[in-house]
Amino acid sequence: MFYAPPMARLITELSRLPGIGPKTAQRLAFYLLGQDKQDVQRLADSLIEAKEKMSFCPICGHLTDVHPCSICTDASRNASIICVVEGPSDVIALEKTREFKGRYHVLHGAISPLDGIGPEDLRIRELLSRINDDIKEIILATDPNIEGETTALYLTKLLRPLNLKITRLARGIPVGGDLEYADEVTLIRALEGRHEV
Amino acid sequence: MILKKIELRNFRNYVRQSSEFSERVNIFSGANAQGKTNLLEAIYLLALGKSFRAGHDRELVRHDCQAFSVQGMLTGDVFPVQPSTITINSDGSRKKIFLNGTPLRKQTDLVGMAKVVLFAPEDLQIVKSAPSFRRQFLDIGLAQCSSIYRDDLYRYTAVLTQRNRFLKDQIGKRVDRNELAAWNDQLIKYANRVAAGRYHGLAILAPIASRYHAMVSNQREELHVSYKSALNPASKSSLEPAAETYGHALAAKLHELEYAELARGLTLAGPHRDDLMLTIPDQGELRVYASQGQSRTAALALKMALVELIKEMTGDYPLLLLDDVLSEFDNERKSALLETVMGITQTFITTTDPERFSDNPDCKMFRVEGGAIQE
Repeated sequence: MFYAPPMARLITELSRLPGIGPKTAQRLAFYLLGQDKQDVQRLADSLIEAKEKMSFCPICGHLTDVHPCSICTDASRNASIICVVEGPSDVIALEKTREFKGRYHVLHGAISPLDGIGPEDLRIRELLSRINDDIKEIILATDPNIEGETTALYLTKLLRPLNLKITRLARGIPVGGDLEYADEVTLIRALEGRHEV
Repeated sequence: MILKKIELRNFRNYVRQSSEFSERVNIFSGANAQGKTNLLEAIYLLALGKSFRAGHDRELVRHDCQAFSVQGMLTGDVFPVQPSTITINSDGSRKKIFLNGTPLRKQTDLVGMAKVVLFAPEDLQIVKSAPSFRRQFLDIGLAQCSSIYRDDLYRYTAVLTQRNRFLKDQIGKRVDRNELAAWNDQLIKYANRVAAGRYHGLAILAPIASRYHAMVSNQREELHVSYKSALNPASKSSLEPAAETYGHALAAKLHELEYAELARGLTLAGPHRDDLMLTIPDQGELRVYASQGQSRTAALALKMALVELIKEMTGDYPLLLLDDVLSEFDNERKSALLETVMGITQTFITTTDPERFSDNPDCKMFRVEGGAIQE
């Protein structure tokens, strides 16, 4: 046993974090123990506070400290458009654009039988219950991989009878990238998804 | 494209080896178990990122060593600088691939740079073996020709794996129709693309294989190569691209097989169950009727046609690796065909009988002994 029990416990807890291996956990533990007590206290308080105050919005499923979340209650946003995403980090990404003014719905995953995730494990029932006469458009913004595409297809089949406008995010050449540097596969897929101007 | 030089460290039975090659034909001779095939395996690894015989990279690491390294120096139009180096390092579990010292963004980006066609004794069975061998023959060829085909095949396989798991998980439960329909759509989409790629490739390969086959069989027999799919019996006589019809046929088939698929928990139709059909008119399917001699002749014609297919589709001849197969073709005409192909692309040959090449000025001779290669 190289470490006294309190130190060993700290290292074990830190190494449970994603992307943190035993070496990094050890380095962080030594760093924290070298800090002033009030600095460590602040970190510990922030962890507890975030955990106690943050939870999922009962309407859209986004992480929030108020219920419902500030996006769902913001009257200036367009309530007739719902953008469906896989995770809370996707909401953040879209919000950073400051372009999208509708509301969100977070599924918390994508259909993947290999990971044991079926439609019933996603927040699809909650999505259906939000749809009423005021909703005009659903944007399917799941990831462009096999699982995300399948989830989008599934939702399309489910939503089509409801007579809504259903759209899917465009994909292709990254903006700011030169055409000549785009890889062949991306380029051909972009060609397939071309549209009239 | 030319492989000028290779360096091996702790790869199979090589401790440290550096060899420079002729642009024409390289002959590696030596007794069995000295490392001849290991060298071809290293070249194959540089092209495809995996071995043709090791199930796991760990087998490639020299006994009692931590990791191996294979580095090739190549020239050719596909490379950004001349010459370029491809380096593959692996500790047996994690592999790193570098082009000119820069790690590749995706390891699959390696495929299509240095291209290879390998002809090993097992390939002599290609006519008689299970359909998966013939699919693999075509897929490995096409994957080296087209990054789109590679991507489509990868995605098709990913959808197939997910769909199979979905089908298996729903056995004994009430099936979610919408989810089944979503997986069907995905399967059909990528199946269509994979089939289109295969039809396209076969349309180029088939006439070349027939021509080579006629050459070695002295015009006595005509080899027909076609795509065989339960979905498309009509294509028996033609190689017309049936891309759209393939998707429609698969949709209809999935509908027809739905009960069976749901009961068995398995995808029962699609490119993963298709085959290459090799026939000789008036005799029927070679897989069923071929004699030993006929099946070798067809295997030879197919492999040599693959060399031409890659040239046709990419503008670049692949490296030809012949692992101890020359002795199988002592018949004059067959070895004449091999020698024609050997003359047009850089070739690497292992043999226990180097005598037959000793007076050929195009050949550079190497001796392989106990994990060391000497000129």
